[in-house]
Amino acid sequence: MSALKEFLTKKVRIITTDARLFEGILDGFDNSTNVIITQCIERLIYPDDENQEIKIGLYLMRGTNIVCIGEIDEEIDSNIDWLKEHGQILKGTKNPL
Amino acid sequence: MLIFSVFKTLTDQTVTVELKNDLSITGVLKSVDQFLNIRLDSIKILDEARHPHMMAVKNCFIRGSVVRYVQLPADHVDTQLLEDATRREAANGKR
Amino acid sequence: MLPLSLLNAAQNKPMLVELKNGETFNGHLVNCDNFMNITLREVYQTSPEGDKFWKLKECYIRGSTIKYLRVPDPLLDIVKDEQKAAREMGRSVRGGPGGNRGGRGAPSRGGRGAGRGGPIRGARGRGRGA
Repeated sequence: MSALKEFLTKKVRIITTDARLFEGILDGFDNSTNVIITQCIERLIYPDDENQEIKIGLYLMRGTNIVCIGEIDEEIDSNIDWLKEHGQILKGTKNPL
Repeated sequence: MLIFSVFKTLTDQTVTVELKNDLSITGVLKSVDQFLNIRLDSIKILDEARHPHMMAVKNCFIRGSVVRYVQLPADHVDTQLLEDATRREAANGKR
Repeated sequence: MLPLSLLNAAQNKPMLVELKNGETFNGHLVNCDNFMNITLREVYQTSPEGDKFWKLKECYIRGSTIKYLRVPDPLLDIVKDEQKAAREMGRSVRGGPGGNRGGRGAPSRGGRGAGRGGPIRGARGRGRGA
């Protein structure tokens, strides 16, 4: 479970079960994958519409809402213009009724 | 607990994890825990052009509860051993 | 730092809580427990679509229904400082560990940092704002 320890104080990107994308610094976590994210932003990526980046600050996210947490390679990331990276809308993890 | 052990024997192997949001991530299995949370290194997203969301991410943590399938390297799974262990565990559970 | 210690330290602070069903609650934290069950006071509740609002004097939210909480930015530094202070206190107390461990110094609460960071505004609906 200490697998997340290596990501502490690093910049991470989080996909959530409701198909949203967050980015920020991992400042804490617990056994249930609840996480504290500082300097958090939400990225909205659209197929062809204009992407968005929303600043939301300090975030406490519940583990049940989390799909995956990726450590960002800042060198690679700094060369990406996220407002120009379009893509399909993610799906949620819940089964459609 | 048995599946947990199986995953542990597969560390440092390359696996593909299909998530419940239809995303497929291939990477080197670094660790697993009791919840079957998975740590993958050197990840590659299947069809990254359509899903750029994890660009610039090399290592990632996947929550066990959102995993649909894990594709394992067949040559690293001893199915005979697995069957035996499963029977043993099932028998233990009955007692 | 543990997410729950951050939450614990957020008592009397404003926060925004989004539930799994998309409803949001804006209010001041009264209390919380280890299940992340929380009580808020002076609450503005917003429907998932962001089109309906309710004002509640007080409300209780079951932790398991929460998606995320948004707390004031300065809180993290406040908690870190408090934890550091508590650790140093514990070290200076004679008799070693067991003295005043884990206590974040209850009386200090509300002193420093009280009134910082106004209520979080703009309960954003999902997707793009109108």
